[in-house]
Amino acid sequence: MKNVILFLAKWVIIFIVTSVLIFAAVRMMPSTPVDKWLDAYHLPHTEENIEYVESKMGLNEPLPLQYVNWIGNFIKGDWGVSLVSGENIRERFMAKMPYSFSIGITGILLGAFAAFFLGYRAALRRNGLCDRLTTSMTIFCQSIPMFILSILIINAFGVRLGIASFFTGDGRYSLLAAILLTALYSVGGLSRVVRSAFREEMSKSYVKFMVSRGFSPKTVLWKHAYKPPLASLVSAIITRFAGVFGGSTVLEFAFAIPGLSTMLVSAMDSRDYSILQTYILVVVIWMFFVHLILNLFLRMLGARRSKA
Amino acid sequence: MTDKRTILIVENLNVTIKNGVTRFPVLKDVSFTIREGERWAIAGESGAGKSMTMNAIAGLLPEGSTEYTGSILFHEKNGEWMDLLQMPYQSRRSFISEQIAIIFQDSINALNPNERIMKQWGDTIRLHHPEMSNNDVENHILDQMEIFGVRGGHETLHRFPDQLSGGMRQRIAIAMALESEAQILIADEPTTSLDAITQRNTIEFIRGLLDRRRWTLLFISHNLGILQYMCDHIIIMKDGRIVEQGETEELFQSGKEEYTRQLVSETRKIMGDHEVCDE
Amino acid sequence: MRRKYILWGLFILFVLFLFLVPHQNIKLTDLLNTCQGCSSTHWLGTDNLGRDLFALMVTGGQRTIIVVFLATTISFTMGSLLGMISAYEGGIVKTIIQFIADFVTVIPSLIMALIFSALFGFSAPMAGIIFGIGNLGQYINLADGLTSEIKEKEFISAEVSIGLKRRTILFLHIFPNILKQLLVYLGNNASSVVLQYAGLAFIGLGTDVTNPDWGTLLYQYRGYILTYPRMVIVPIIAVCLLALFFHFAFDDGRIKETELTIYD
Repeated sequence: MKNVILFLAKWVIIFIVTSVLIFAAVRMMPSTPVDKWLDAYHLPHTEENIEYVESKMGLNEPLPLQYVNWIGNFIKGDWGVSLVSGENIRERFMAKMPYSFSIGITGILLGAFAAFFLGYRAALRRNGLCDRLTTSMTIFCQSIPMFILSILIINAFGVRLGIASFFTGDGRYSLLAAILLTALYSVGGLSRVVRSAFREEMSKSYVKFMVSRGFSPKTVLWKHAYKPPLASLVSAIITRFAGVFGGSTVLEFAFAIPGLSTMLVSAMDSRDYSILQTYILVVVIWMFFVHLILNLFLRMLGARRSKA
Repeated sequence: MTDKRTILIVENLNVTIKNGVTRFPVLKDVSFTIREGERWAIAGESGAGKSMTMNAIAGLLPEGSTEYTGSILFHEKNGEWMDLLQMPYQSRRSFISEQIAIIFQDSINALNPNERIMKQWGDTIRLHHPEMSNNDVENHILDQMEIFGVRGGHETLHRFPDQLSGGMRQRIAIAMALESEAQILIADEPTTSLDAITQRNTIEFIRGLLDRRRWTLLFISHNLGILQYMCDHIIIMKDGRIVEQGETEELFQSGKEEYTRQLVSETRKIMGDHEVCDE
Repeated sequence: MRRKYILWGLFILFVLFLFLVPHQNIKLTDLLNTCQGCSSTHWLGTDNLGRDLFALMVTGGQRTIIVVFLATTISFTMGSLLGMISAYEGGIVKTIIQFIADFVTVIPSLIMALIFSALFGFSAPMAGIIFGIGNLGQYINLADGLTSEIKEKEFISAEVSIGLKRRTILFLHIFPNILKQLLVYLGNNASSVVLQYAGLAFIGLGTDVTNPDWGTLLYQYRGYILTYPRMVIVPIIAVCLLALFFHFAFDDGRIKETELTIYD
């Protein structure tokens, strides 16, 4: 119970601190949202106009009140309108989210699934095929940026071979490529995490004791020692999910996928601060759910720490 | 003494473990013969090859990285001789697990921390007796708990190891090790890392078991005092070789080798001059 | 070990080379000589605007090195320190430091860098500082875990009971023991900063075209991959080599466990 309260309190604080920070950052901008709005409607920046827009946007109220209004409206579901296009931001987010989330979630889960098996095989045979494969994959992902691979993929499949079109059509190839790349870039690191967790279990007394009692070594590892590696994998995934947004930014950008990150990039290009603010809140809420669900899973798994 | 059946012959056993490019010869030309009902001790400093000998016999060395020469002959109940080293790994392991029960150094940590006692104990029983029904398994465990002095009944069984005391865990581990119909019991430093009182209890406990079940014992320790108390034969090892072997009393009174005498006199110094052996 | 000296020697030469060797003006365009091949005047040829690719690469390299240096220095010093303190002190201090670690990992540093470069303009030092803060979390968790492990060992509690100062214990006894693992992570982290920075420049919000980065060059030249592959391959190789260097230069073979288990 105490943990639940602590967990919720932590996230409430994270939410408040990030929202205050982004709120402050946006207000420190050289060009203000008001200028942006006037530009969008091609209105001159006269004092009257500025005053009108300020009162319309509620910008003439004291800052704390503005902040409270913004958060209050966000929680109520009124996410405001885009400064540039005047679109309803919430509708826009809802339309973009499926892309980003499907890339992130499917990619990582696919990667994690493969990583568990590969990590298990890699632990089982030191310097065996899987061990070498996962090591080289890790080094590969650490030295070749995703976007370079994206350029090469687009070039090879889209331009040279012409079997997939990335920038025309319904964009399913782009989505597929982005998911596979996310998976690929997760597998290397995650499988090493699984491998070293399995290796750690292998050196433990209880494993040797079970083998001495007549269990086959593979059965012991696969059926009786899987919990700690699975727990390590899930913990690694938790931190990796934050990177999904970072990683998918580059992918969405490279494959021109109309997801959240593409929206963020174009919003920032046009200095659309209201989208930027909302984006940050959405990321925090998303990370909250990731932590919540995966921590619940870890709790259910109930892996216990044991001494060597 | 003479009509006892020979049960285990280790002949010119050499074991080399390779790790990467380096090769460690861990056992050099080790030979000894054990007859049924005898209680053997293996003594020596750490790194002398005591545990290696045990692991080699029990097939618990890293199989893919270990080279064996020589032979480990095991006399089955039906009179046949099996050379363990000639058997493929899988069948050797399952053969050994039926014939040899092993108690390890840190039996306190020998239980799977992620499974309830009921599950791990039950799995062990089903491994040796696949025909047993769930009910039988549970009754069997409750009986064994009685014998091994594990208190708490069902409640204990539904706990995880970290919810039990060290002494309980150790008893459960030993009970689980003895589930097979083994002829030989190997105890690898079962008392190190225990406090003095638990050490004494464990020793008494194992002795009690031995008297009841008439096992052949292979007891590994660097503590000559305990070995003298437990065993009738002793092997002294150093650097992977056997320095000297023979009956315990004889060796303690008049060891031929310098190293043996040195070990014995050091033990006497620690234990005080009085004999530990008070049978 | 010798391999490592060679790697580091090469790296120092590389950095000196980047910062000391004179190169041509990167702002100089020459529309008569666009997309030229390698020659004695243009070592790596010229790009689609006739700029000297070598000069562009050197400038990009300088900026990348600055980013990596800033980012790793910030996260390594602050992260290890906070992590050690967290594990050593425990209690409320640990809770607060853990909170900081969680906090900085919630918003991906690439996104943070994107936002800040869009708002305040793109600059290498700023990207370095943001990556440094963004990657703090992993260092804190790592140092915290390692320190907790060491704290359990007896010699530390012995030192506490002798009455050694906290600072002495932390820096002279705990830090040297966890340094090796931290350095391995530092290597991985430095590689990933190289990639992150390239990605950031590739997206290129607020970038100044006159200050080229490897990522920016890649974005600008990506259309020429078929016609003038040289222009794309050069930055790719530079990014990959630098990332690989950091991976191997800090990779400590001795940490790889040599302990055999019954499975081997």
